[in-house]
Amino acid sequence: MSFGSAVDDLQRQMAISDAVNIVGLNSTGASTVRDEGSVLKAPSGILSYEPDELMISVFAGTSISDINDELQGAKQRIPIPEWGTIGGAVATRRNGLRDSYHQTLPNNVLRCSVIAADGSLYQSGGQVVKNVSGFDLIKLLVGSWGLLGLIVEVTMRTEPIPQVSQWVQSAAPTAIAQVSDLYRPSVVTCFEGNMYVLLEGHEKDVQQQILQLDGFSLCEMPLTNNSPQLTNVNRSSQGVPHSIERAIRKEFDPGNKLNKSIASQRGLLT
Amino acid sequence: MNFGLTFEYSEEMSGVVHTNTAELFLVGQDASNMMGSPAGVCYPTTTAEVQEAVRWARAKGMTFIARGAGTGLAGGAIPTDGSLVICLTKMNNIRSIDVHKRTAWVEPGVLNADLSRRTARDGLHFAPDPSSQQSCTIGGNVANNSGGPHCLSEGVTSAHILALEVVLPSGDVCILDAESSLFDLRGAFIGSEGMFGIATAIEVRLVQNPPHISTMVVGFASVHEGAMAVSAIIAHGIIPSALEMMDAPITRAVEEYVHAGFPLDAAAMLIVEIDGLENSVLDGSRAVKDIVSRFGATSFQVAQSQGERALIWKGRKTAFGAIARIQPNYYLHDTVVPRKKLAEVLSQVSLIATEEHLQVMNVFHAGDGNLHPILMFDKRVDGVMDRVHRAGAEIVRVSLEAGGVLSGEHGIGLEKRDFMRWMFTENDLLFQQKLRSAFDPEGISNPHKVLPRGSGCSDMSSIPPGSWI
Ligand SMILES: Cc1cc2nc3c(=O)[nH]c(=O)nc-3n(C[C@H](O)[C@H](O)[C@H](O)COP(=O)(O)OP(=O)(O)OC[C@H]3O[C@@H](n4cnc5c(N)ncnc54)[C@H](O)[C@@H]3O)c2cc1C
Repeated sequence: MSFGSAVDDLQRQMAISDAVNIVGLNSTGASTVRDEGSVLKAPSGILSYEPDELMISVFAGTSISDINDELQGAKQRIPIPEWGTIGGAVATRRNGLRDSYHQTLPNNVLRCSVIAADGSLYQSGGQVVKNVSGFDLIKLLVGSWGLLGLIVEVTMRTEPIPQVSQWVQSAAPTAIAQVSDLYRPSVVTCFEGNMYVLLEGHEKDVQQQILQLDGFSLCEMPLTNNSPQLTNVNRSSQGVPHSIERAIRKEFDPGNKLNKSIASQRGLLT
Repeated sequence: MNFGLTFEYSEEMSGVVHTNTAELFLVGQDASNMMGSPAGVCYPTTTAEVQEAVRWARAKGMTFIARGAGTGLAGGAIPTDGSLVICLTKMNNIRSIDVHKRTAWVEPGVLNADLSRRTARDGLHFAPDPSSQQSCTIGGNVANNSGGPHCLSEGVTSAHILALEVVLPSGDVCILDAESSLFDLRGAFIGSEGMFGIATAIEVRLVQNPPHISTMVVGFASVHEGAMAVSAIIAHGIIPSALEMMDAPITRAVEEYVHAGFPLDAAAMLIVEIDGLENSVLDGSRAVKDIVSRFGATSFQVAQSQGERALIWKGRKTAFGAIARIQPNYYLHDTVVPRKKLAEVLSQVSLIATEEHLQVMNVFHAGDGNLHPILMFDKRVDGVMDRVHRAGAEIVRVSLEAGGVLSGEHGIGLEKRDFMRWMFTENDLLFQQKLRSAFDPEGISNPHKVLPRGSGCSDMSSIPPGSWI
């Protein structure tokens, strides 16, 4: 599998560097360069888009708004917030508000191609919508913060844009109970004492759902800051899962080359 | 039952580890056509007992293998080298259900369908619905990242697992969830085919039952037209909750067995189900009707009651019982191709079967391009297994050539292990091995599966020749 000279060059640079900072568009500040060493960025551009297969393959440095511009023509979208690059969203697991279980990205990334710390290229997944061939490195890469390699290519599942998307909000005490009676709203989130709900689908169904709600008003998408933050410590920093993470890091980046300050912040320098 | 012993005190765990021939014969096989040679089997009832069993195996220098119901089709549950089989079927309690949060904690031996039966009165269900759901365990679903007809819109098992309690090959126990680590170890564990440790408790997501459902059965004059209709439905922007295809031979076999009212004169039939809110179901079904008629549908029925719908799904899901009446043995294959290649690959599969003088039937998840050709045979016929294996390998080859992958839901196990190089580079495999090493540095949890032999990717010791098939 070859992705052309841009990726070949990145592989060479990765191989010869002792320390590497991986950056996207830095839309969240997460990829502010804090360390010595080379700065590597995935190429951008759409590799293939097959509307009928609901699937798009792009270089990881492509901005999500560029991707959505492309998808719009076929009335499709990828359901994550429109800022930064797709590689950055995948690396930080930036699901946005849409999925309360934080699984939008893990469930919609179908393939990843990655430049490993040693400069070699590895791939997981495939250009199909269902796949259990081998161990699932994709789940590991989503939310890996650049610590397992530089993601250079991503294949994503796309989805049809629903006929109607409408946000509603309420501060009423009954809001929670009412919302839990709704059939699978796209988003439910609380923000500054208000409950926000995104209803999507057939125009008439959305209208009926709105009628069913009492004390809610129509609104725009709430402007919450929902970009993922890298926390310093949590309950895991010593436990058994943390030792597995450290073992993974030792296997994938034995020289501690990748995103050193992030690795150090999470106790993942080995 | 309590083991009442720890490995320090018990030399043999006598009475706990069973070694009689009949039991070992049973746990030496799964639903594939392979046979393994376990050294012993035990049936823990608690997480602590699983730990004890793992530690005992370690102390004895043995490998171990988790086992659910043994319905796996890729040989994942075949003990290859005198392993201790740790059978989880007695850990079958639903520990808690939170109706408000729509989650539940279950033990790994809970049968898939039992969970949804329990939550039905609250209008909830566990979405992954493998055709084997009456008998397979949720632990097995997690290990294989299983799918099912309704995973087209709901997503496969990994989309419905929130947390796992896992006994690692070291004997340590831990919780893998969103908070316990930066990396998604929960996600990495799902689909690891028993090679990263044993899941001893599982937190699942429950989903609301749909308020409206429309289930359609559509007949076509050719497999080709049916397959083209599948692509067209998806391309139209409709994501049915299920979109299944059955060809004429399997339809006939099922109809004789279940009497579901399937179209016997059709060369292929689709089951198309759309669910959700009223108007999206109405519009979606109307659009499906238009599309299938453009592709020459020869019949179009809509289930008029819950009973009719249940009968259709019974027909679909008992297809494998029906074929047992035709030939004593079958090999159920599993590959995925891009949807637009369905028609082409199906006709290649039919040629492959003809060339090897094998009967083939197709019943599969057409909506996600997930093929399940079933090769039928009688094991007692001389040389038939060679033909079955050659045909199987050819089916893999044509699927990969069409841009597809090795497996959509049954996993790699032993069956497809040596095909992994057809899809992955050595470096891809090396990084999969690295992940495995992080969970199981000594390679003692279900060794020899998934990763092909040679070049440092597989588990060290070799497999005794002739230990299966
Ligand atoms: C007729 C039939 C129809 C089928 N239909 C489908 C289908 O539609 N979709 C689908 O995806 N599959 C299907 N299958 C395959 C099979 O049912 C699934 O893979 C199922 O999830 C296996 O569950 P099990 O309990 O039988 O696991 P087993 O076969 O016992 O084990 C499977 C693998 O899981 C591991 N394992 C089991 N329990 C644990 C645990 N607690 N922790 C760690 N590892 C564990 C084992 O080591 C083994 O590698 C079908 C099988 C049959 C026979």
